[in-house]
Amino acid sequence: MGLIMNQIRECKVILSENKSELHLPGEVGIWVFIFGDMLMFAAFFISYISDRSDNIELYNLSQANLSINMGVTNTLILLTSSLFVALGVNSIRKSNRKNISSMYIALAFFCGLVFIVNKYFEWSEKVGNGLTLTTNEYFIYYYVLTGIHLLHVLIGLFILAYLLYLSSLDSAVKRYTTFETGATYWHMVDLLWLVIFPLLYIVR
Amino acid sequence: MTTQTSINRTALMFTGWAGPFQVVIWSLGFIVFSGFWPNIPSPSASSEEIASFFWDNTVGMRIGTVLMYFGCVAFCIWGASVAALTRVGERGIPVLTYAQLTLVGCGGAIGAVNFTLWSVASFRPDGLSPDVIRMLNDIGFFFLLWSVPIFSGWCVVVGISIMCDKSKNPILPRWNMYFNFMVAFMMLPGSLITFFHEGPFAFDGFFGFYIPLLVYGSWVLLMSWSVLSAAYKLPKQEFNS
Repeated sequence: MGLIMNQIRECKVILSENKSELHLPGEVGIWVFIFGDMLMFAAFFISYISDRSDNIELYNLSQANLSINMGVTNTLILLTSSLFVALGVNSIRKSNRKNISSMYIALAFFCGLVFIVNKYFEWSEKVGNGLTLTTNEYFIYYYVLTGIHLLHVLIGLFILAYLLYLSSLDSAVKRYTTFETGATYWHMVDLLWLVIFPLLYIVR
Repeated sequence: MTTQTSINRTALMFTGWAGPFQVVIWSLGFIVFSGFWPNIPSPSASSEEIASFFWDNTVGMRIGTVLMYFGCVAFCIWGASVAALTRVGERGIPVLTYAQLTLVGCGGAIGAVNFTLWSVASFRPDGLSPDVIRMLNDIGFFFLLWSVPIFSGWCVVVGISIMCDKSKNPILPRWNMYFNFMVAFMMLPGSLITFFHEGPFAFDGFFGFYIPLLVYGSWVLLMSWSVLSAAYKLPKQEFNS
């Protein structure tokens, strides 16, 4: 949440520095995308909560198979990656600190990779124990929600790789909006996990 | 508009209106005549139940499938209008337009087969075993819903062609690119219907049925609006050249 406060602070700085019109980080289009994506995930969450209320015992029993430590680790990894992305974008504006921004974005990329590797181990452990997509209703949601989130992370890695390439260019500071757009997407991915994690792993 | 390519206004309007026409006529066929909604023939239903769904309403089903078939044709015609718009922004050999048209053709062919199978299911009441009818129903729904990757792919290609359009006044606005990427994502749950016979991800479930169809319909209407907005901005043709 501190990262979001950071972003808001950034907006306020830009506001006071320049014009009096509202500055939305990144292009308008990314917020169109985020709106739609959030709607989808809201539908997933509502569906999960509704189906769970019909079968609380099954859901709680199944949830016990999950490793909260793994979930917490993944949460910390994503939060850290968001911090790196925010720092990386922030340092783009200071054009003499180009290499620092590349470093931050590379670190964020690495965090994303670690998240994916963790997810692989987490899933293969479950599958090894016979807990698959069609085991029961809870696991349908578990695999579908974490799977769709994973797809978002994968796409986010492509976006971060592109930002990494951009940050190495001399014209990086001119593409500031592109950096904000990519960062906004990554923060959305992080935010989604911050809802998925308690929903699937913790809520009883 | 660029000076390199120009579009016939009437042609663009005709093909653009095929979008809303497609939505209306297909919905008429699917809902009013064939009755597929709200009583969606469920993947967890027995063969007898599915067979009676097709055999108790042969006239309605046949009319509905004819209408849906025309909707499918309208889809192909409309697809060309979207591809034409993105063609305006493409420099050189229009690779992304080609990609779009192949996906449109694919989607159209799948639709044609889809509605043919449902029509065949009602062609010989009592003449086929209920298991066969259930399979025809299943295949139909798979063609309808499991084909989402084709349409997602199409959305992605449209998005990329907007992304590559570096002209000063792009014919399709930038936010449209994000909208297309968003729609591509939102339709994807349709791919999960192959795993489930019941629940929200089955082909009669919220994410298996409602989301892909509603998202697709909204996308058609919004893209049609973009096409027609562009068409109405074009100068009217003079008939003596």
